[in-house]
Amino acid sequence: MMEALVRLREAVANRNDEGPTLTPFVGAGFSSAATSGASVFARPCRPAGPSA
Amino acid sequence: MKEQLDNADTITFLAVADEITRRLSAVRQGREFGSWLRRTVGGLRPSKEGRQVIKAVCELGNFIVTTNYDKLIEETTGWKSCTWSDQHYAAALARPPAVVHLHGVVDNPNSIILSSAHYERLSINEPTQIFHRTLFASRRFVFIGCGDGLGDPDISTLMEFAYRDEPETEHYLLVTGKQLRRLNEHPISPQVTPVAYGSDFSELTPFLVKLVNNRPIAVSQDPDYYDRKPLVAVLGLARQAWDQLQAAGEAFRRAERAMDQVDNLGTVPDGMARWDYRDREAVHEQLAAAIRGPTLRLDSALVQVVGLVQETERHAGRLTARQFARFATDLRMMTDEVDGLESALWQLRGRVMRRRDDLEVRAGLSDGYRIHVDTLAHAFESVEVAHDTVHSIKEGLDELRADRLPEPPPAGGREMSQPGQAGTRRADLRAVPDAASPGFAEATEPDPDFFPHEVTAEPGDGVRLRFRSVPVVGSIQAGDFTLADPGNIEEYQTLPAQHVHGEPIFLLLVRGNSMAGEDGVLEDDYVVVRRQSAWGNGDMVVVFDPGEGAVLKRIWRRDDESIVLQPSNPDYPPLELQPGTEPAVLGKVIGVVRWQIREGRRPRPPG
Repeated sequence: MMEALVRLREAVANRNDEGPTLTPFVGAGFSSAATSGASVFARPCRPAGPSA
Repeated sequence: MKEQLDNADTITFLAVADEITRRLSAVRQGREFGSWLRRTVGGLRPSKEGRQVIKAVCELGNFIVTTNYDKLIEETTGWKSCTWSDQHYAAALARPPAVVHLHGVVDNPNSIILSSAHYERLSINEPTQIFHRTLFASRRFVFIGCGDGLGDPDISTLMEFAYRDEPETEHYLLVTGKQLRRLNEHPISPQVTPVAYGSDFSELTPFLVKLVNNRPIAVSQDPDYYDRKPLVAVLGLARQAWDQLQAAGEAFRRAERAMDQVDNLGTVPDGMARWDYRDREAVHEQLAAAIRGPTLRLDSALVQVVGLVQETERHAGRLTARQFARFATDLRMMTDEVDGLESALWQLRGRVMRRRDDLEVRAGLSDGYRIHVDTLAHAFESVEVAHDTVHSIKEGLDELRADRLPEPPPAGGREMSQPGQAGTRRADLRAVPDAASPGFAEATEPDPDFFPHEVTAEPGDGVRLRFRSVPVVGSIQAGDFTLADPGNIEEYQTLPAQHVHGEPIFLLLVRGNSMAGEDGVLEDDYVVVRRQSAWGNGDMVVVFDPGEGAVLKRIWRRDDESIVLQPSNPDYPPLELQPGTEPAVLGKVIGVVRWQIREGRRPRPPG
C-alpha cells in the first residue's frame, strides 16, 4: 500500500539527477488551499471512473 | 448559476461557462469579461500558509503546469508566466523557472479558455497542441489540487495521447485518504497513481514540505484507514453491544420471575384428579413467551459483538492509550454481564427442564398434560438457544481476551511515593492482554513503517557502513501514544545497523529518571524497543498502563509467581502486581540512544 508513496518519494529525491523530471501540475484545489479556501473557479472534474 | 455548479459535471460546467462568457462579452464590447476576471481571479491573494505550500511545490521542479488562471505562484515566487497565446510559448521551457498556464492567465483575457468556443479554439491551434502533447508525453506529473479527477476535456485528451506515446510513464495524483478507495477501484488512467497526503486539505502543506525536504512521511495509503474513525467504530460498537446485553439481561430477569410463578404452583400432586391442569396453562405460556423475547434480543447482541470483534481486529492498534483504557473498561463491563447472564441462563435452563420432565411423567398418565409439556418444551428450546448465544458472545469477547482485561478503575489507586515530592502519585498498573494492547494486535500485519529500511554508506577504502532508519513513535510516561499508527511517527533516526537488528523496532523518548540508577537511562535518552510481548526475568521492558500510557521498568517474576516492576533509580519504589495479574509487556528494550552534539573546536597547532 505504501508503494505509491515510496515511488513518489524516490521520484522527488531524484529530481536533481539525470532521471525523469517530475513536474507539478496544480489544479483549482491548489489555489483554493493557497488562498485558504477563497472562491476560485471550480474546474470541471468528472467523478473518477474508467478512463474514456 | 451558482447552484448549478455544485457537484456539476463537465457538461454542466461548460454550459455555465458558455453563459458567463456570452453575457459578459456582450457588455462594453467584451471588456467586461476582462474586468470580471481581474475582479475575481485577479483579486486572489495567498494566505500565509498558502505561500508555504506554493514554495514547497516550487521545490519539486523548475516548471509548474496549471490550468488555473491566477498568478498566485508568480506573485509569491517571482517566476514568470507563459501561456498558449504567447508568441514564444514553446521556448519558455528553455528558460526555467516558469509557470505554464495551459488555459490562459488572468492578465490576458484573450488567452482564457473557459467556454466551449474557447476549447474549440485551443483544439485547432496546431502548434499549441503539439507543444502540449509533447509536454504531457515527456514529463512525469504530480497532480496537486486536482480533486479525484482530471476531467477537463482538453486535459483528458492530452492524457490519452500521453498514454499512447509513453505508456510506461507514471504520474502521481495527490488526494485525500477518503478518495483513495474510489481511485484504486476506478483508476483515472493506468498511468496515474493516487497517493494520499492525509485526511484533509490541512495536511497538504506538511506533506509537501516533508516530500521536498526528503523527510520521512508517515501517511497511510490504506483506504480502510480513512473509512471511519477507529474510536467511533470500536467504542461505538462496544457501547451498542453493551446496551443490547443489558436489555437482554433485564428481560431474562422477567423470565426468571415468570419461572418463579410456575414453581410457586408446586409439583403436580399425585392425586391428579384433584388438580386442574387448565389453571396452569396461562402460567406456562407466560413463561414460554418471557423466554422467547429476550432470546431474540440476545441475537442482536451477538451480531454487535461479532462486529465488535472484527472492528477491534482492524482498529485496536490505532487506539491511543486513553482510548484503549475506555475500551477496556467497556469490555470488562460486558464480560461481567455476559458471565452473569450465562450462569443465570444455565440455572433457568435447569429449572425449565425439571418442570418439563415432571409434566412429561404426568402426561403419560393423562393427555390433558400434553399441552403443558409442549409449552415448556418450547420454553426449554428458547432458553437453550439463549444460552448458546450467550456462550458465543462469551467466545467473541474471549477472542478479545476479555477474560484477562483489567478491572475497572477502583475508587482509589495504589499509591506510591514520588521522590522529591511531599505528596504521592497514583500508579494503576494493570494487566492488558498483549493481543489487544494498543499497537500490538499481533494477528494483524505490522505496518511497513515499523520495518526500518537499511541504508549503506561507502566512505572509501572498501569500508561499507550499514545504517537503519528507526521511527520515533512517542515518549515513555507521556501518556497518549499509539504505537501501531504510522501517523504517530515523529521522526526517524539513523542508527548503526549492528545495534538495532530485529524488527519491528521503534524508538521512544524517555521522560523522567526512574531508570537513571544502575541502568543509566536518563531523561531525553531514546530507548530502542523491539516489539514483543514475551519477556525474561530481569529484562528492561516497556509496560502498558491504562492510566499512564507506557512505563519503562525491569521486570522480575518472584518464586511465589508475583511480578515486580523494578525501577533502577533507588529513589523510586518498585511496583508490585497483584498475584495472578499478567503485565502487558509492549516491547523489550534492546538499546539506549543518547545524542551528544558538541560544538566543534579548532585544534591547537602542533608543537
